[in-house]
Amino acid sequence: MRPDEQDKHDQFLQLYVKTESSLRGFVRSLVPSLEDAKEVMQGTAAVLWRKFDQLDSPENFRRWAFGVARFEALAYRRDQARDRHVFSEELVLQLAKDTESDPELFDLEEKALEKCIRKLTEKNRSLIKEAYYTGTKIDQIAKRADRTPMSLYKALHRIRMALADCIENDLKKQESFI
Amino acid sequence: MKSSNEDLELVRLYLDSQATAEEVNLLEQKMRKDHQLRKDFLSYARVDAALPYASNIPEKQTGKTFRFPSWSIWSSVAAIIVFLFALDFKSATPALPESSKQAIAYFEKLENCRWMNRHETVAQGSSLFVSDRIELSSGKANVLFSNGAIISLEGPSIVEISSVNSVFLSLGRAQVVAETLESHGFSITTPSSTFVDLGTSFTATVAPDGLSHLNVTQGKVNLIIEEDHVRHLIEAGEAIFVEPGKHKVLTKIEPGNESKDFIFPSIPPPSQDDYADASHGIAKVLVPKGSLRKLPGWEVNPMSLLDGKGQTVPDSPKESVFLEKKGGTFGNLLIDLGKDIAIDRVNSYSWHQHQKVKKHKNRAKQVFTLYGLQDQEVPDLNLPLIESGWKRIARVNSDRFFDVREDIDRPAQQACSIFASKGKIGDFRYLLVEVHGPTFFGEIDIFGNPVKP
Repeated sequence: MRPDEQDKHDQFLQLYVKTESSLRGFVRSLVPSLEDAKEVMQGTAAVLWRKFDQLDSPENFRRWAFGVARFEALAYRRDQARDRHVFSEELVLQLAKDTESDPELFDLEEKALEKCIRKLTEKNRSLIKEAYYTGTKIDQIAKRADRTPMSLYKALHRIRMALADCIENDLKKQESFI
Repeated sequence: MKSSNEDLELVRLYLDSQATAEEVNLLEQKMRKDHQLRKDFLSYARVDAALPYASNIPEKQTGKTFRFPSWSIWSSVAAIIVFLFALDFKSATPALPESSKQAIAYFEKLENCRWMNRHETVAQGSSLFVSDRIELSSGKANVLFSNGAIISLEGPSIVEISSVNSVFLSLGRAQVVAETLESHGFSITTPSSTFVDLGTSFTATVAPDGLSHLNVTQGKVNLIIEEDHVRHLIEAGEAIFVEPGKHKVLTKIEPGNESKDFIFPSIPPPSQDDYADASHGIAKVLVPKGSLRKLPGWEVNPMSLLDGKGQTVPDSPKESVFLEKKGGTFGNLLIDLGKDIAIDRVNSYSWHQHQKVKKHKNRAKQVFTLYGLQDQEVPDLNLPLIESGWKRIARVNSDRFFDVREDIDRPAQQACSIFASKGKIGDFRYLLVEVHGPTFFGEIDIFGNPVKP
């Protein structure tokens, strides 16, 4: 790799690493499943890398990346719209607008999430681990646990809501210290 | 969350992909009017997105979390997620006392190493543990595993030690030499696939956008795309590209026997049995951008790409579809299959070697990007292709594939085969070959069947 290419590579990586987690959360809100979000993120990373030369200044990377991700999500949504139930383009744009208004929030939330996961019961942590980390399908987890898939969906729903509340409370606490 | 349970259940249904059309519509109507519901929806979605990558899903809190010295947890968390969209590779870091962790590898050799974290201090002999990450910005680093496997990294590279016998390569280039019996089966997982060593040496490369490249230098490697996909055995001297994405498209390129029979190790010769063959009178080839080489007295019909045969001699402009470079670009070849076809495989063939200057075989290389489009009006090809609806199928660069450094290294006759790891590449009516190099194409074969209504 030529030195100038390597510098470009390094710079891209550093900017991307800083932005990726918030970008992922943003994309997830625009498409209906985690798998879709992974697809869109892959497309977004490819576009960002391909067009990195067009970025006017590193300070604008985050805003630019969010713009590209929104475009990719919309394109993906259009591709999927034939056979999937998805939101209208107008609502996606509204969600994007809501999200982009506070991009720094993601980083704070992610830190809070780590703390909140520790507060879960061991049983709930195990369920999260199986469903998210090992990627085991809900049907399979349910079979092993001798439960119905729906009861697991509901359990995960309660955990996600609890985590979202915990994160909100944690952020509020932090604000009160400032 | 302040929204009603009923509304939050709709959110769950949507994000678990279980909502009916009516439920999606109802949720949309509510969210358009209700700012709080949108806020809750976004919070919920962000939790869902972050969970697969959360750095700590501990089983039990028994002690402090151990990380490789001076690698901050947060820089690791941030870096861990780079480009890892296709796999849930991230391991939970068990909260074990430091003393209970065992080093499974160490840095055997470091050469001009610069680390992504500029404050990193890594020395020759530094130990490595499961879940440690190596973020090499430039230079070369050799890691010796306790089972004898050696990984040589070239910066920029990001690697995570997954176990005593495996690593996850998120970016960059890693060469594995697994010569000891204990190290056989050493694997490198990338965002799109897993390469399992069956003895003894291979190189894995991952581009920033997830394109993986496997090059086997000695022995054999098992290529595993997904557990339920067919495994591909890649042998010494062979290489393969794996595109990221749902369909996991593979690209294999092979050198031919440099005869008019076009014999390749595993890719079949040009065929008249493919769906697009001219004998069926269905497919058409057009040159919407760029121009074919022609001289007074002759010009090549692009339909010859579908005639079931390659060139008869090595340097044959009259039998080759060759787009001339103009204004810095080569142009496109558009193949119209008449209707949507479930495409299984696309093979392309090239042959070029100057009769007198034997090392001049520049036009044998295949450098192109293949796109597909379903049955619809073809958009203006001057617009960006992906943005205007084309789906990128594969990127081909045979020089990179054969690691051509000198002209003489380049095989004069080449076949490129593009196929999906499982099932079809996709349903397309149009294929667009965006040509990026001076290639003497002899034939393109497209295998597939009409999409059932």
